[in-house]
Amino acid sequence: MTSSSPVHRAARLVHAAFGASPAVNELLDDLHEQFVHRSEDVGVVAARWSYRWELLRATPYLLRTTIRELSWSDASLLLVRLSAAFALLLTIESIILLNVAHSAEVLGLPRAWQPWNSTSPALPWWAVAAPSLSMLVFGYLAAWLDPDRPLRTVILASVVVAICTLLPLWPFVPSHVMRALLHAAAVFAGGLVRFTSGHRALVTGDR
Amino acid sequence: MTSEARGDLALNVLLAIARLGDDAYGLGIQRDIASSTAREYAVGAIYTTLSRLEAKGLVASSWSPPVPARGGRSRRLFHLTAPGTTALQMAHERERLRWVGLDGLLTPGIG
Repeated sequence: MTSSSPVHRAARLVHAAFGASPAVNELLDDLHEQFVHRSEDVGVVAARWSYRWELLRATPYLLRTTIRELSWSDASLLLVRLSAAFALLLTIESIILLNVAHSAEVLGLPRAWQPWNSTSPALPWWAVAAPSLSMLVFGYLAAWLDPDRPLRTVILASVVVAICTLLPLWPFVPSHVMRALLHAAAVFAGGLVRFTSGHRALVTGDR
Repeated sequence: MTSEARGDLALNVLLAIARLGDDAYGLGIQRDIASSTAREYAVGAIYTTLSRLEAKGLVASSWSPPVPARGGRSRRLFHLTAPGTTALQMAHERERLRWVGLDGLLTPGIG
């Protein structure tokens, strides 16, 4: 198997996403051994698809393992990274909003276009979408700050965001839960964007 | 996975480890279960069950010497502990008790 073969690439993608812990290596070794046997039995193409399918089925285990292996120092580092991502997000948003506010005032836009103004009669659509967009950027930044295990960071960031969205809203109604899930999904999507852009060659198979 | 299915898989994993002896590793256990029950579990599900059983103290693991088939890397071998063997014996006894009193029904040619 060459180092650029799809199976090897999938393994490198898993390493990039979850880190190269002994548990991850052990699973990948087993799947590779299974791939070698199946290649002899059913051919390389079928074995390759089988390998990908098995890898997909193993994702819950990989997620559980990578979260269970979180040590206290890992957790504190993760907290620092999430805080840094949040601080970065606030800085970026402040710069954008201050510029938009200034431009809106200069251009004399109606107040409905100024969602930061508490007297606005209704929030425009882009202001409603803004929190999800913020969460998307937050996920991207969190993954960017942890190049070793970006997916683990993003998954934990999603959980943290969902909890932080839900907690102040007690007692929960379905729309609160939906909002929390939407935010968590946006964080994950942002992280996924960062991860795939950082490992484009592995994802697309380009050399 | 329901708790019943989880218990079923845990029992199958314990049985596979007992059958495989010194050669019980993740993929081997999966193959053994597939051949004895015709059910092909995901390797990830096998490892999840193994880590659960290890946390309960029913199985223990050690690393094998380097294996050429794995590019010189080791396999993590699992073996039953004393509580694991006892759990297997109890499961067998429970299963036996379920069938007590049905010998006549199960004898070929009757009914």
